Amino acid sequence: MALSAARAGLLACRNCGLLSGAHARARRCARCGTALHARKPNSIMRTWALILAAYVLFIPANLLPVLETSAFGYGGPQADTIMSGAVHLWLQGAWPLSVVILIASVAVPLAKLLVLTYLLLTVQHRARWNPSRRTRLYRIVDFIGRWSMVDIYVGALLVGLVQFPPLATVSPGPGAIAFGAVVVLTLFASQSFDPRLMWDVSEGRAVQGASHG
Amino acid sequence: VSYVASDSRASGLIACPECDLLQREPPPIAKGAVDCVRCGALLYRTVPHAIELSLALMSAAAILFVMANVFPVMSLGLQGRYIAETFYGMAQSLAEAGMLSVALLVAVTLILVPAARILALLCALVPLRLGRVPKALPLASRLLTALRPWSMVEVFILGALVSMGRLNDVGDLDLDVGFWSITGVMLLQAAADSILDQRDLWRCAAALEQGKGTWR
Repeated sequence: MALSAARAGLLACRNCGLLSGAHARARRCARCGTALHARKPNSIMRTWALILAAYVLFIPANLLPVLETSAFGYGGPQADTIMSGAVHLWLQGAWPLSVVILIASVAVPLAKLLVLTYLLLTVQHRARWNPSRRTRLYRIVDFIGRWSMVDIYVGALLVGLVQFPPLATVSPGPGAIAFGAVVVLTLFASQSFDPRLMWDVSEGRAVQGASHG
Repeated sequence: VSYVASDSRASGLIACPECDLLQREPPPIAKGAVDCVRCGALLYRTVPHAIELSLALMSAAAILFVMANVFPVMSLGLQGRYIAETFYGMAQSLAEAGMLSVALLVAVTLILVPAARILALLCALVPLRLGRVPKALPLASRLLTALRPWSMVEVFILGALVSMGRLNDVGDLDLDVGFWSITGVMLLQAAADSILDQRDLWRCAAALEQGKGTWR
């Protein structure tokens, strides 16, 4: 029978891994001073709040322009959203760049939000289905989330470099703020989700002090 | 500070950080990785001479990181005028365009967090290598864990490659010293991350505290 540290009355430090008794002095890791918790505090509610905010901001991030270009060698000024920018690149024949932008800026954040939603729902509905596979899913979204920042850096480089009025200028659009917020919120969201909750459910017992929302 | 489990029930045991399975710690291995038997998460990794190796890598990374921030990353020329861009300049031009929040995000993920990670690691590694346990070891260890997701140097490199593709037909694009330096930082940091395990720091500190003088 598999025994989790929490059910054995032990708290694992989430920074250095040291195991302490549940009555450790001041509930702090004796080695590195990190606050000890059986599970991340309020993991489910916190993750829901962060991903709901990210879903809302995902809309302006995709509808508002992220870059405003003027006289980019193609005539008049134009404002590009993430999508229209990717389409322009595709039409100019730069399809590898277009694919990178579509994956990093649209597919990755959306996949991350959907997967976290799914994982939260399985924990709340006490699904016992294959926690090993769901943990792997969590590991993947936790790893790929950071790559959404690519578009922010591309924007920052273009805005800084293309300042040749009246020939060509690039300035950031309001969509960039919403998009940056989506990336930051989803990064916090995957950090606040605790995959161990999935295993608690599959072991059929809630761990004391862990909220199941 | 105690470097071993205070609860006697915990000695010789290890808990998986992702599924919390309590398992017996395998006998020390000279080299290799140990995964959780239930969910496959990495429990720890052992590389011989991890402290010395990562100290060497991070010292080089510190020098390159300074260069990456002093020299321009890229420059663009159009009709005889040239604009060169540094990391700080990137954040500054976003701030001047009214995007203070995005400017902060760029400055934090490319300048502040990578610098703090290099400093924290050096503050831990240099004294340990000299045979002394630094007072700031707990702080450095917590910083390293907390900051890890927010250092995005490798993502920036991909962003720079995408920008090159977009700017090539706009003007004369040149990669400058800053770009090669930050590429070096990325490689060195990735190598150090895959060599050094937090356990190495604590094992080294515990051995020094017990007065063995050596920790291997």
